[in-house]
Amino acid sequence: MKKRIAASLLAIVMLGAILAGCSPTAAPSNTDSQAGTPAEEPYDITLALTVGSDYPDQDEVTQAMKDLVLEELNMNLNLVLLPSSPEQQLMLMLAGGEELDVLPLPPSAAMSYISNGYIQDLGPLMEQHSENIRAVYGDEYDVASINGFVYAVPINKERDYAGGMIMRKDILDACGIDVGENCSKLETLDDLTPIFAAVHEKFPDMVVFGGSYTYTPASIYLGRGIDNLGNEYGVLLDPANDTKLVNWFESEEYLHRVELMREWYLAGYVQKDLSTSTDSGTAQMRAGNLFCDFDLVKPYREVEAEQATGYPCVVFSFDEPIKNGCTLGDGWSIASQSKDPEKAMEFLDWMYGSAEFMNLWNWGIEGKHWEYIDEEKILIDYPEGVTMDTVGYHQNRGWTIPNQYIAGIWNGNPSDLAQVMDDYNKNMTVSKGYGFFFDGSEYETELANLDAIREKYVYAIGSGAVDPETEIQKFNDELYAAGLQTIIDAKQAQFDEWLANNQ
Amino acid sequence: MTQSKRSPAAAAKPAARSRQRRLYRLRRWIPAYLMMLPGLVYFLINNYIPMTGLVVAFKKYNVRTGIYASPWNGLHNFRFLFTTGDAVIIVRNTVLYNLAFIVVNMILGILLAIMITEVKNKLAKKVYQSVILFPFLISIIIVSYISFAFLSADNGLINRSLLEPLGKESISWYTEKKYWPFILIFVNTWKTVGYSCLIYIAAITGIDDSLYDAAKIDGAGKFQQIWKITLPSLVPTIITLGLLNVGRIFHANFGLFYQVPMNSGSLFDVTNVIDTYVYRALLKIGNIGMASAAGFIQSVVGFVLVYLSNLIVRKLSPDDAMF
Repeated sequence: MKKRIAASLLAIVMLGAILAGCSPTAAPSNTDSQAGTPAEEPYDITLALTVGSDYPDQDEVTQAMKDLVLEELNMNLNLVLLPSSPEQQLMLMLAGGEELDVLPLPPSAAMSYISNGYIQDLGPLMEQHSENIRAVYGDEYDVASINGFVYAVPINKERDYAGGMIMRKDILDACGIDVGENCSKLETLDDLTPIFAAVHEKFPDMVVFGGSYTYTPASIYLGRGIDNLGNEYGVLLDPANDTKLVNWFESEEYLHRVELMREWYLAGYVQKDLSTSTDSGTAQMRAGNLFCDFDLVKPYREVEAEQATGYPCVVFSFDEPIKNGCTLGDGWSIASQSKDPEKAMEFLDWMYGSAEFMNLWNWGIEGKHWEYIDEEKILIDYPEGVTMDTVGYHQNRGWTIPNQYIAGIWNGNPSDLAQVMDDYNKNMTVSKGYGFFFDGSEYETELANLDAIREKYVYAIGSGAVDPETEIQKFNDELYAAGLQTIIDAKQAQFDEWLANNQ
Repeated sequence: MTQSKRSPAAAAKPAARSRQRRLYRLRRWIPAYLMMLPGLVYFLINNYIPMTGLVVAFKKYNVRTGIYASPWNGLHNFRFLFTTGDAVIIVRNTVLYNLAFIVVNMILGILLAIMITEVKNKLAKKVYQSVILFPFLISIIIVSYISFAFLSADNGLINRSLLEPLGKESISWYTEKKYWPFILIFVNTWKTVGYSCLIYIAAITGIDDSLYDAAKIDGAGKFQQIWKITLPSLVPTIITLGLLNVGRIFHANFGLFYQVPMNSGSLFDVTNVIDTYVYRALLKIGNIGMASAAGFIQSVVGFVLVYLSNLIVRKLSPDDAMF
């Protein structure tokens, strides 16, 4: 009998333990909030952001960011750190309704985020809070929209994506090659072939061209002097003058790039496992055995490259800069599950105007991770005794943070970088499709199949690992079989309508 | 424990007495039922309630309105799986690889289990067992990099230390399709055979020793003992494991087919399975309805297959059927 009672008790206790597991955990209370004794309860704001790598002083920087937000906005900041390609984590957070207010919209995710209802329309919200955003973008503050749904505030960066080759200058010098100031002696990608040959001969053990499989002139889906209007299927080859959509994978430019990659691959210049390599060119170059990688470039890209790799670099930019909508594909959005979208918008707008917050985010704590080196407090550098290898926090990912140009500018860049970028953006050719985005929510079956086919071919072909003669034909056949023409037609129809309404 | 031995005794008794007895028995079992309750509640919450979410496969899901309030979408979500020319390839790959895994794991698992149980030295036995099980515990990401260490075109062990010293042309493993069916089966076996081996060892240890003693007295050799005693005694275990695996024949091990071939496009013809296809197709679009549609098909096919296989087993030898 005693045994039975004990067993019953045990069972009840176990049941209780399970139910206890279900109760919500108490939210961590912020002790700082008592200091100012604000009339209003601070709003708990959750900001997701991407980081390049883990730094030992992350906690300290996070705390400093929290303090700043509490002081200036009376909000309790909650940071969620995500890896640099956060698509999966974000989708789980959004679909699962986890606490989230402000998030970095991954490139080309806008359409699906809208159709799944993951994000809020910022249009109405921006009527309340957009002072700082308008100061940055002027009339274009709400340009990132599909069918009138403003899905994000754009990141303040270059408004084109131009491809470029980043080469190590010390190797070029060792081979006695002179490319001229800013690679002025190079005109097309073909001009690289003799350079690669010379480097390969002088340094046979060095990988001449390498990087990550998504980053080769033939496999990149951004830039290329064209406008892809939101996805790869149907692009404007001459976006400044023409409004007819064509298949990029049959264009002469694509074929030429593919053949060039194949030529380099067969000659032994290209990293053998490029089609599966996930190590970025920057990381490989820093490791010391890579001469050249492909990346998206902008003015003073060589300074960024030198900071990141530790080697002097030159940049050969071979795409004509075109102001196009791809650069509006990512940005900062507000999640549907935000408890108070207006507060979230207030925070989002505040970020675009807070130099202090941008500095913390990108460079860390003043005096510890960086310090001003000039009177006007523009240029910054490592403090005395701190180097690239010993610094405790140094994201240097300006292209991911809301407004990098109000933050300190790293030494080596010109102090008028913000002005230079502004001029660069204002003076480049504008694509006829700037501001248009394809709404493919009715075509998800076709798009899913096309994406799967693209994955199958584009990286193998784009790294030169397979024979383009046969593969490109197969690639295009499969694309058409999966409905490429349907997508191009639908996109053209939407585009024509948009053009008619926006003339 | 003593209770369970007594329980099946009373069967045919007058109705009134039987009802009384049943009541009495029920009361006696209350603690047992109570102990079962947490498990049942867990299953209900974790496994059965979420099943209603399967309707999302037939909906145009919008996170704001939620699963149940989203509009119906018919079979639209299923279309992307069948409209592609790859449909045949991915189904073929999924099923054939899984069949190969089941067969190879079963044969090798039993073989290894028999060999290990024959080892007399206790320490050696433990060591072998652990060594074989160890890969099962390694993350597939690490496995993919171990394979990469062997197969890398530039620095791989096979190219650098085997083919080149032998004067052979090095092979670009990640772009050559023909090797991959073998590589994938090899890697999967290396990784998972320890687990099935462990189960077979447990089953063999459970065989009554007197059977072997009797066989020895009758003059049966080692092989005869294995053939006539060990293997027949393992049949229930083999069938149970087999049925469990058949139920998952439409589910591929995502890590194995995605990470180990390093997502190399040129290998898709031989490495693309349902799970990887769905991942690649929906990564950008992120449509939950479509992803659930794929999972729905996998589960339904798995359920039907388990049911059918069990039906066959019941026909052939009723004692070994699972249900």
